[in-house]
Amino acid sequence: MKLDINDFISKIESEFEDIIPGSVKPETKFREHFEWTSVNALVLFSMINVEYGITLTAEDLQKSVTVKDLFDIITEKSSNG
Amino acid sequence: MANAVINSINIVGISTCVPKNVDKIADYKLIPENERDGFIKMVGVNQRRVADKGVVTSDLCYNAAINLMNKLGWDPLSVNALIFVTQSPDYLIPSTAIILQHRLGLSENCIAFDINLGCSGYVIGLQVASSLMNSSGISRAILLSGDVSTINLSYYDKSTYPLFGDAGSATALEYDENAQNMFFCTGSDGKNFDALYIKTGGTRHLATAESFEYKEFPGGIRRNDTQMILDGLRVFNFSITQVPAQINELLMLSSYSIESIDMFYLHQANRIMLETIRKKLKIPAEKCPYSLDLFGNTSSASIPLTICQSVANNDSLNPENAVVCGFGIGLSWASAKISLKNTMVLPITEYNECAK
Repeated sequence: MKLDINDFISKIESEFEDIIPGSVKPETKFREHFEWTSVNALVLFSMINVEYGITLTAEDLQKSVTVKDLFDIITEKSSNG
Repeated sequence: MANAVINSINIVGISTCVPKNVDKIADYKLIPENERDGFIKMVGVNQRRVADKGVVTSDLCYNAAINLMNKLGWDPLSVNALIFVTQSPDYLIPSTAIILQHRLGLSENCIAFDINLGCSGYVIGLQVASSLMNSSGISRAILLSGDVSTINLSYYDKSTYPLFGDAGSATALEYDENAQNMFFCTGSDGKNFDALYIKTGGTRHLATAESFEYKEFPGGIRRNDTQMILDGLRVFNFSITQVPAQINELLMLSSYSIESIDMFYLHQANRIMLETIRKKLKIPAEKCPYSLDLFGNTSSASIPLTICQSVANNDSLNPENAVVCGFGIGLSWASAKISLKNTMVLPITEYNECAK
């Protein structure tokens, strides 16, 4: 199944109440775009695990700046799995 | 995973005791004020119970056990096994279970020992106690489980301090040839022992004066080496991966399905983790009660505490088919399919001084 970044973005937007729908782009820096706390990081990890069956690590998060960076890691892990 | 089917043991009663003192997360100043509501909502802990200085786990479990034996009409002398699951014993040695044998008025003809487990401990305690009863011809046993975890937390560590609460529980087990089978799946992963641990105070790292000096960590966290360290993300990833897989394996072993199980009582770790597990397994919310909001993570007491709260609230009336699942420190995990159909589940009590 080909993964769609727009679908990933809409899943992020529905997960976080403080995000204005339509405001997230692939190049959006997620730490700056919405309130970034360790709790919100777990919410994001949870959504990615439930929706894509992928477990991100702390290193994956560290090397990601934009939404596309996260999406690329999910795509890569999906194809390896 | 280590799987087992155990017959002829009934869970005849469950009781839980908590300290009176309530600590509200809304008052915890180490989480910035604008983040507190989000923390409470997402992590799921509104408040927790904190034992007063001098009150320890064995006091809470003693209260729970006395209450349970009274309500069941059990003669203490009829109990021949006492197992105490805790990571906060009275002394380094001997086992606190032995001290409790005397305090509870049990016979000296009683095997008594502690099990050093936390989050997974209630389920593993059930497995050990019921196997022991079958193999040693013991007709009545009491399983105690709980922790006063708050003693080992740093107020300046927001990654642990607002999560954990104190509680103690007692579960009465009785040999009964007509009892339904219990099914167990259990696992251990020692390579991740340091994902949740206390470094100093055991024999590997003896405590020195320096052990009590506070050190700075990223995120403004301060703690000393005798206090609990939690690598939240590592435990989170372990839990959301291992727990659904294990519950599926348990259901296969016992020939049940998500639909045919009445209630799931999961270890109360944090809400995001529990909701992730619940969604992955497609368990309806009404089959998966939480006690986390009022009591926090109460270690090995969290499953009996959730059962007591749920049954007392009439959310679940003695489910015939229940799954209990503990996971966390060790890392260690255990699930069981049990029946609570003939179980006397008592309302949660508060600790009172007269039990001393």
